[in-house]
Amino acid sequence: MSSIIEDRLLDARGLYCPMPVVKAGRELKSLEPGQVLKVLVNDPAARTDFPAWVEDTGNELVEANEGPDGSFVFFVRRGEVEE
Amino acid sequence: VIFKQYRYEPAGQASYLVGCTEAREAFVVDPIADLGPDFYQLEAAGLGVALVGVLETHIHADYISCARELAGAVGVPHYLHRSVGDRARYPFSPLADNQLLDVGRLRIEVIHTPGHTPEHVSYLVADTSRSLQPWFVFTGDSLLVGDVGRPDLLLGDEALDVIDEEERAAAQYRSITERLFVLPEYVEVYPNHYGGSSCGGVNLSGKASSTIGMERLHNLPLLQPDAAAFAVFVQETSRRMPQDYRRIKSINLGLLEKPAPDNEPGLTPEMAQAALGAGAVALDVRPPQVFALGHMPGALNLQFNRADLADRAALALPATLDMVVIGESESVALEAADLLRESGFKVLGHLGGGLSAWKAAGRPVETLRTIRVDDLKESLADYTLVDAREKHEYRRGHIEGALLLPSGEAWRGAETLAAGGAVAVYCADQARSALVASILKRRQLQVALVLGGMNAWRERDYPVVEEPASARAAAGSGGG
Repeated sequence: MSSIIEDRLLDARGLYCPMPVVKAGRELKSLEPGQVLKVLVNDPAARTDFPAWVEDTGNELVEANEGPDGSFVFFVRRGEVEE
Repeated sequence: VIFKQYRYEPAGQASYLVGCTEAREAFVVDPIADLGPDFYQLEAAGLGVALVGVLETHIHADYISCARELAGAVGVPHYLHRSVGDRARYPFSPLADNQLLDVGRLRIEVIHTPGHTPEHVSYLVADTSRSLQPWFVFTGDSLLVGDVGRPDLLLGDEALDVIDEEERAAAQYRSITERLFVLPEYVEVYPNHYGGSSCGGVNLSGKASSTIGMERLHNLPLLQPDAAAFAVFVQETSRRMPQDYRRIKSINLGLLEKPAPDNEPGLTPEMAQAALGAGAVALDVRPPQVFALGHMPGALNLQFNRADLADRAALALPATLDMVVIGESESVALEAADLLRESGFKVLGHLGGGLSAWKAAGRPVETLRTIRVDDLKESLADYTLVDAREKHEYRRGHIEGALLLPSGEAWRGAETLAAGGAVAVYCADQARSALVASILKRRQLQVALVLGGMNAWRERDYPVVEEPASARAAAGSGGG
């Protein structure tokens, strides 16, 4: 269990690609820089692909855990907005 | 003993016919409207048995029951636990805890197992021609394989819900540990749900049977130390709420009318052909492997997934498209059509009778070539490779020389794809690649779909090309 408290939760378990990152992108856009989005994903490729997406989109991966059911739990902090 | 399990895949639902071979009598357990009363009557007729009753484990929230219609059509009792009381607006035969029902040599004991719902019962069956010991148990939505029925599908009306979510979770724990787990461990478990059903949680197994012993040892929610930890675990591992469950539950209580069956008859092959001729596209929601074997000319493949079919369509296809939907079954096609309409697509209808009706009418069928990753590796020089994933996935590792064409951009990008000769399309598995392949095929390209995709490619340790992290993009830009 994590000590981080998220500002918003996105349960993307059971979604087909690329909806988890599309939805995570939309959620992050609606947060303020510095706020944290918790994302649940159960696609096996997410272990490595989701952190790559966070990096490419200028956000910060604060923590990554494996859930009790084998899904992944990512805490993503929204990066500074570049105009 | 007569024992039949009917699995209805789109809902991850299992119903049963159970009876005595000597008496030639049987009960149906938890019949589903998607199969319909006729189906169960035909099954019984086919087995040469008379139906003597319809048993329900509870008032269902994620599919429409046909117990009332079936019992009415045959003229036999419809059994539910007596605590349903007058919440149900129709007559039924009330059952009490520990009551025995005999059908020929079978003895069925009612075990009240509240939790998923207050009136929930399990049916414990002994075949007395073999032994008075119980043999198997229909657990409904109490004990599931690997999981338990969720306690949170409430109508939001105390008179109808009777007990709240917290009480239901506690009751579920007691029902299973004190009533079911005390049974001999060899007793077989036959649940009402399995696989993708949203009445269970993420640990729900795709297998629709188990034993008391197996579940006592390895059912994760029930391995929690106490009822409180159980409740937290169940809540944290639950799936999203079944769509429309309040309406479904209201229908099953008789508070709302059932939707008229076949209120949207499918398009005939002639009508579908005319629609395509007028510029509509065929959207085929069957799995890629099945789509590849045969589909309507020019059809697009977008595999059905209740949670995101409409979102994926909106991402990849222009909202102005007119669509004809093709599914594996009538009910999947109808649901796909509804989901797409809700998200703004103009769906002209679904192909009635699916692809088999199309073939039977002598209409042309196209196939999509498929290639396994092992064969692809040996023939890379023969193909222009197209990677249908997102930019970040491509960066993390792709097959050398592959062109990136994310599924969301393929409709527009297909025109500009510079590919001479044959094209092989891959993604992580074959869902996105099948959509992109079907789009490219409409451009008259020679297309092959790579089965297994990058997941299979990586499993075999075939070479991949990685790229360093790209320059930082604006925060939250979606999908690449």
